[in-house]
Amino acid sequence: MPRSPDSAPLALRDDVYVRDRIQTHEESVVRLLLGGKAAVTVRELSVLTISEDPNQSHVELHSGRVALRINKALMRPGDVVEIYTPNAIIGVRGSLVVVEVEGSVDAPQSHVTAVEASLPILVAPRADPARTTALNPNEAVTVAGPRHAAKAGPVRRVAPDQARRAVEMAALPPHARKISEPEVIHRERAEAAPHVARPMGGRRPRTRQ
Amino acid sequence: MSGVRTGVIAGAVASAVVFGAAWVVATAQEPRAGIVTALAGQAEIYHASLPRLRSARAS
Repeated sequence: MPRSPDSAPLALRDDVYVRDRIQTHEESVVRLLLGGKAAVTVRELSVLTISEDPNQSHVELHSGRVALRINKALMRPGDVVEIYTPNAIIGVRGSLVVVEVEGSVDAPQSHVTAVEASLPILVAPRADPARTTALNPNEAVTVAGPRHAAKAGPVRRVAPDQARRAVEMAALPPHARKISEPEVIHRERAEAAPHVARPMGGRRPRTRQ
Repeated sequence: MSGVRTGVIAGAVASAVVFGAAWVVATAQEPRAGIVTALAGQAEIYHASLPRLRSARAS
């Protein structure tokens, strides 16, 4: 996979910033903890960009597959994490969802599978965000077509083997190096507390090239 | 003479302000969004701020 002159190998414990783009190689998996409450597992050969609006974070999945697990206990009322694909928007408030983008640039297909959903997962074509489809656990939908004319298909029940594959997609391979997410969440919440002084909070060290 | 000196000082201040503003824009970084908590295999990250940082360092 060609490396852009402005890219760098990703490492465990790296901070990621809004508008950063991540690209995984073959047989590679990355997990990001966003905002201390959304775990995004990026599967092999995927490309995504981190984005953020004033009240919600979202990721743009350009190609490949991701699994997004929300820690509902840490979500505030109105919080939503969104996944944008080339032709769909997926709103998640407390769930495990798997999203896969395939097909050509002119005719992408976004497959969305709700594995768990304490609140329905809302899926809409990007060209018509008001036309939402609600997914409950073990349901799936495909949004097909170019961005300006994409349409959501019918909601399907997920077969047991498909559900198992979706759960596996959210899991890490045994050889993955990892750090404790609860520890990271605890530290970030402590740093966010108003009585704790923060060192120029959250800016990237200048040493990174 | 006084007018010339005032003009020189004003020009220097204006230049400093313009240079400072350009430096701030060039080195501004995006907000932190999260952290990598697990990794298997290889991945690349393209930092959106990096080209600006390099450009600022080079100038």
